Amino acid sequence: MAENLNPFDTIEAYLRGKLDSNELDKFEQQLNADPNLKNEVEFQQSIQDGLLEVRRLELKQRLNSIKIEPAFEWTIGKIAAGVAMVGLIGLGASYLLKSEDKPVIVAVHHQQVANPVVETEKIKTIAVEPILEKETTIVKVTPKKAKKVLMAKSTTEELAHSVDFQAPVIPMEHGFHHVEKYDEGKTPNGKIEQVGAINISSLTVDVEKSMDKFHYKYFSDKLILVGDFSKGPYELIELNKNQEKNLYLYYDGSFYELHYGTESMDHLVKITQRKLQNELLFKIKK
Amino acid sequence: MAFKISLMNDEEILQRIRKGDERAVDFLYKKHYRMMVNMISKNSGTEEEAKDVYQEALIVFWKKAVTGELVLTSKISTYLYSICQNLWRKELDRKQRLSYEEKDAVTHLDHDRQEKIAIVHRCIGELGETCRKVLTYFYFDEMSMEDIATKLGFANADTAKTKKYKCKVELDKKVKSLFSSVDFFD
Repeated sequence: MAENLNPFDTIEAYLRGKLDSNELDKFEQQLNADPNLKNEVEFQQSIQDGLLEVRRLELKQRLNSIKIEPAFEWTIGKIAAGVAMVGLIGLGASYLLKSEDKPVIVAVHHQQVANPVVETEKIKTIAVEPILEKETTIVKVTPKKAKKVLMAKSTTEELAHSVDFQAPVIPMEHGFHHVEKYDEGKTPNGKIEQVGAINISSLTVDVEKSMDKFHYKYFSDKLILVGDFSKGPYELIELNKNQEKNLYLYYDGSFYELHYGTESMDHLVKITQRKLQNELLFKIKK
Repeated sequence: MAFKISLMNDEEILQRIRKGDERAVDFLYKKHYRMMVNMISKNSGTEEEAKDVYQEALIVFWKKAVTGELVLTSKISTYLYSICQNLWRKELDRKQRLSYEEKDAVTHLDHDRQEKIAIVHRCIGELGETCRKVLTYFYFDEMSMEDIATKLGFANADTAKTKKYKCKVELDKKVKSLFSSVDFFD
């Protein structure tokens, strides 16, 4: 390997422990004989130390920003053919789920979709109230309340009839049932350690009201939307395809792509690809 | 709003970490927080110390897993538990030593090293987010150019490689000029 490397690469490989024993011997001989090389290696060592430290601090900061909430966890099992709905919230909502191979939408409700009625069992809906607040609050919505919210937003009676509401407690029960069934072991403190092949997502959505153009951040478990979302509810659509999950936003007649890992504010970019639009529209109408 | 859905088995977690998905570490952090922090608290640590040690343990775990160094022979929780124990023992030793020695007996060598790291740190900050990510993913996470390209949305591995090279040259230049203005050997 070292034969083909320039000095820059060799030093790098040396410091990263990537030289084999022959290369290492050879390099160390050179190092002892050449003070300039030695200086350069020391210099590069400092740089690498610095880079490692920067990343270590970054990860640490990331962990530090995670709030540990005492015993507030929703456990959701693999729910038969697909999706669960999850409760709803002061701020806008989202949600996720997993189905093994089919695209799945979660958290769908929109009054502007031509036929926003949820018809299949696979998709359940949540009403998303575009209340724009900065504070993140958790509001449990009882079925009754949720219905009220949705009715208020609906223009047709069928919509109200066809929407299936579940209290947040329902997915949780599924979860426990599932856990018992698939539990393979306990952690030292007796908590459930392993469960069957279930994918998870967890996402916190914050909406910050602003008259600016739409922006967003999407990283960790956090999605922050900035803009004027007061024209109606927005929706988050998760497409689960080819083992990849992509998240899209639907608002006011347009779809936007949400790239995971967007840690600084980025513009929401409208999706123009006809095929993807249709796919998303299809999911919504479904 | 915050919903947490906590079902992911060890294998899935490892797979995600190997792909560089930090959310898997967030998940682990939350999942085992109480257990780890309780262990340290019961061994004369404060909650803050416990949290600090647990975070360090997870970073050690992340680095080993993401670089492919880790061969897991037990459950992740058991493994994390033992890292925490080791780190906490070291910390207790260190505290004990400090109580016997002069607290400010930090060697010049340490001091130089810290100062150099601080300079590099500052220069990395000046490079901007993309360079920082490319370089730290390469050196710390030891991600391949393909993975870096995927994670940062570059066209391909070659783009990532070029980017990494340019960023590194830029960083070297910045650091060199600052190092030369600081004399580390007096």
